[in-house]
Amino acid sequence: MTKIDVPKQTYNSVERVAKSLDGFEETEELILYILSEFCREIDGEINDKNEQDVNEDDIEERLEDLGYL
Amino acid sequence: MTVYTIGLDGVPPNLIQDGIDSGRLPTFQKMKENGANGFTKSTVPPVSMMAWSTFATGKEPGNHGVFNFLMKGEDSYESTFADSSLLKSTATPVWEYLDSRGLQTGVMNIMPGFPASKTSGFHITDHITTPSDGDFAFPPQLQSEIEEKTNSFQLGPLTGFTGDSEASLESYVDQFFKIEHERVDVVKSLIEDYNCPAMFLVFSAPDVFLHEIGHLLDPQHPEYPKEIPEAYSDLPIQLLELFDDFLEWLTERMSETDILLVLSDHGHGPIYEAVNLNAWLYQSGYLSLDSSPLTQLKQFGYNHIYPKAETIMKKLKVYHQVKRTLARDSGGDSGIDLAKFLTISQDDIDWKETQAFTVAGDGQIYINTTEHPNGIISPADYEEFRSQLIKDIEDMKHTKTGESIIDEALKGEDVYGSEYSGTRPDIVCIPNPKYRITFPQTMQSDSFLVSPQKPAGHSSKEEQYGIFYAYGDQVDTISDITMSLADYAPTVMGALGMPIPKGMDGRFRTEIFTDIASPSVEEYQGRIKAKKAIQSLVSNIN
Repeated sequence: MTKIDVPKQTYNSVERVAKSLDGFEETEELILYILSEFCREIDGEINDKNEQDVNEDDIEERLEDLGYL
Repeated sequence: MTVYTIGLDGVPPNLIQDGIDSGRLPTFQKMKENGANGFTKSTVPPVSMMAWSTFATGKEPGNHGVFNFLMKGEDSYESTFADSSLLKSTATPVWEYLDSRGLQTGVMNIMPGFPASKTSGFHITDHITTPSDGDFAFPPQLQSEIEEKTNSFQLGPLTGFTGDSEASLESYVDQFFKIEHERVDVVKSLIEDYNCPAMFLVFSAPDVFLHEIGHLLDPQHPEYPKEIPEAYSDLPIQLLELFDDFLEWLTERMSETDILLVLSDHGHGPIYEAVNLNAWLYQSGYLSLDSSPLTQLKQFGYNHIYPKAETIMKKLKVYHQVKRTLARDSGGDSGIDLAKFLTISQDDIDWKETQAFTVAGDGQIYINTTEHPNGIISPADYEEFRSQLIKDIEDMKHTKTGESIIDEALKGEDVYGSEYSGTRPDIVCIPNPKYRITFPQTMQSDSFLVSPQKPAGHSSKEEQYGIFYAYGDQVDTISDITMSLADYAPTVMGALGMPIPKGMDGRFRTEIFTDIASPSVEEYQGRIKAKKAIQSLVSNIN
């Protein structure tokens, strides 16, 4: 583990949020979670910029092929 | 430690038993003799979209709200196809819970899977909801890796067997098996490359194959092709041998702490005839059609002209091509929407005179309550009206044989509760074996019995049970277990030593393990809420 220093004010903010969110027992757990998830999401967005929507025609065609439509 | 959960969509328990009895499925036999086995109870009705949503979330359909492939809007006549965004608006898939605890997962082909979850490990979307030109894998580079490794990776199994000759069947089967062999090879390399603690990998091939050629197992089937030798009834077990080989490979590489769960989301059986519920509702006076000249013309066409044209087109083997061309034509340059012009659809319903209707297949009926824009059934009349409709549905008889068609009609809240009362069906009809309630894409107003789109399917109570096997050093030797689809998510989490999220309806099935303690139940919403906030922030950055 690499230690990082967090400003007191930031720590207090995260501590307050951690208490209000069910599921985080310690402030450090939420800080680690936010950092790791933020990096993963950013990484994912860089690699996958095109947010795609479902194509209803494609689903319809597939369901028809399968005998559902 | 890895918990592998392998889904074999639509495999009926009796087919596996036949394969074990004939000595052709030795790995299933090994799992049966040295592990836990029994059945998986599906949803009501056993619709794959609803079933896999239940499997993924550990919630019963009434608590995740995905009731079918096509979902009616709340207090609306509009309907939309289910996708992963819809499911995730009401529930959280088990791989996202595990991800929030830092565990990598491998997910393949669990509907509704598109768009993919951006979870650590990998996620390959499902073959129903993924657009033909859409990205099917996360991380994105996985897609090109798979495509480079294979000749022509297909997200879904091959459909469209319409032939009636030995040569056409052989050609279809060769191509089908080639695609599935390639898929198994891809899955093996994913397992080797990613080594995730939890893998949820579903093969749709058994379900699709049985939909296409299930009638070959039943010489009494109206579509049983006498031109094709009986030996071809062996094909489904040949397909299961492919998965038996894969499971053999998997069990041989499992460590002493690994666990394997194998399930199917429902069974399968022959379908002789189908019911168009909207046509039945029309003939019974519950649904009215518009009196416009176009709708009347279409009614005349469907009752007197189209069936003959359909027969001729089927003989000429151009029916499916023509049907697809028409269905795909939404106007274009001509300005004429052929699909709407030639089908009797929701656009032709006279809502102000309609009391009940259906929007999708498999027997889910909606009452046109006054919450709808042109609704006519008031809250005061609702119960009396519904009771009468249920009685009439259960009295539905075959017009020629007098045979009863509907096993039972259930009240929506008795099946799904009331969490999503605005979108859940008011009545759920379960047909007797050999019948299916078809999608009401169009209808003949003078006949509600139609040819089924596929010769086999899963509709009746007989097809509500799929397979269940568990295997591994930590699995007890026990038979006759009945797993709910909602039990899989908490059972996998518990086996991995993770707390079970509050709100799951399924339970950790402690009896299938020798020495794994029941996990605690904990609140995950904080993690999910934090993750959604981060996702929202990141998506706004771009």
